[in-house]
Amino acid sequence: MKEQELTLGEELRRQGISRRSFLKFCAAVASSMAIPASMVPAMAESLAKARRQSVIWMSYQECTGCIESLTRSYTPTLESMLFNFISLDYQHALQAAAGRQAEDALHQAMEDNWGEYLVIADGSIPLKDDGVYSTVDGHTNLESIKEVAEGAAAIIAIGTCAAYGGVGAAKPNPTGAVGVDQIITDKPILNVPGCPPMPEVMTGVLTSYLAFGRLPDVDSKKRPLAFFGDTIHDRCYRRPYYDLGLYAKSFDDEGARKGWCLYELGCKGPITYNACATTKWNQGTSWPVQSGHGCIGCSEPNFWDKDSFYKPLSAGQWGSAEGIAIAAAAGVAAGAAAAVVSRKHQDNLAGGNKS
Amino acid sequence: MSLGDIPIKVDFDAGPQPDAGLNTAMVMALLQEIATHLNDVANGGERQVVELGNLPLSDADIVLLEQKLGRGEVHATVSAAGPSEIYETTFPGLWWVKYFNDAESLVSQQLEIGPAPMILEAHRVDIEDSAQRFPALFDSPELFASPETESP
Repeated sequence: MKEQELTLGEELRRQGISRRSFLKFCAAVASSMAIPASMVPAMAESLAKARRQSVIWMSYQECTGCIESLTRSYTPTLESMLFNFISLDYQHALQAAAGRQAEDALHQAMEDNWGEYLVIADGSIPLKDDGVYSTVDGHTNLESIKEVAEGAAAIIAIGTCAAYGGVGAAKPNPTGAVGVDQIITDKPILNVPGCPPMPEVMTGVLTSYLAFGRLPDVDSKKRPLAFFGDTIHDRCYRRPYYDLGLYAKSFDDEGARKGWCLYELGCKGPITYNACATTKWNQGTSWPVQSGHGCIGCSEPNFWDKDSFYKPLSAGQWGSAEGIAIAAAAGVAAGAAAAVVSRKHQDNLAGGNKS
Repeated sequence: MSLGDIPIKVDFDAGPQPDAGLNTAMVMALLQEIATHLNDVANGGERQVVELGNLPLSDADIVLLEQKLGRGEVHATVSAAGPSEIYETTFPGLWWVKYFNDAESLVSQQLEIGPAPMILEAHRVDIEDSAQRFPALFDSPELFASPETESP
């Protein structure tokens, strides 16, 4: 029997791997996706019945940061995904094949799995001047995404660039860059933004697709609710200090070291949806706010163009409407008062840090 | 504002990390949740699992929680896709489960409430596999050797 005709359960049984491994794998993924633990046995069952998924990874106007991030996934690891669950048939940075061989592998994979393969795209796609600003194998990214999308079961746009245009689309957007869903409108598309996105979010989404046979539920920006359901602020361990009205006034001051809220130093946590606060980075070692720097909002559309990372929400373009509404909705008098204070503080910072 | 305006200084003796030494109100909330689950399971309800990794717990919170729950009669290690450590707390039916990956770093930490943690149970498919493989033991040559034939 060809390897792809075996179920994942049969494949692993041949290697002497028990169902406990599936259960554990699913327990870890379910936990990061906030899937109720009661569903873990069912998830493991259906994953064992699934077949190896063909994945085609297309790289457009990108920096390779997304794939760099993915290779650091630890629960599950990318290796365990590659060895056990998916067949990564095309990926510039990781594949051994190059040139004509690589392009042939892409087309072979598309032909063999027409209608069933999963496309992962990273990088924005330029539209200006017929898309000449980025080409692979003589084809523009625009032609390429249309071609691979046609036979895809679903598309996952990885990174803020593929999701919303990202850095490539930053003003003045010289190449007319856009995200995938501005071009492809007739396929299920999931956005996993972030600059880079969290590795565990990428592998978690893939696993859940294998186990449930469909993309997970999404918010209005097509992001998986499991990871993007809460703001950074909602899940931040410094949140109690925001509620108490205790704010760091400069980087590494007494308050910052005590873990006080970084709102006044420009943290975009209150209006940024992502999983950093709980999943953390580098195998759960730390995350930006824990290392003392505010969230820069990298998983939100157009984060580059929303003024300084170091202006409080109440002073920058981020906060003009939405941010302040949220700060007010927190219903904490201390917080609202601090927003006013922070504007004054910001003026001081902007005026040469004389405060 | 330029980079030079950002007041940064590097101080390696900066004292405790922001995440250490401070308890949040999460532990109390968590204990209440566990109490509810224990009641449910005691009354015949389904197994419940609380994922600790999804909660904004500080390191100090985890330590406090470990102290309060204590260690009970059972301690087990499972070797499947890396090690897992399981122990029963001083409250029978309340288990602390730690999943590690191949590199032995913690990937998931859960409190499981039920008669036994699911990772300890053998799956029916694996038992079926055992049932198939087991009869091969009957052919073991040692089983046919009698004391008489072995002695000189």
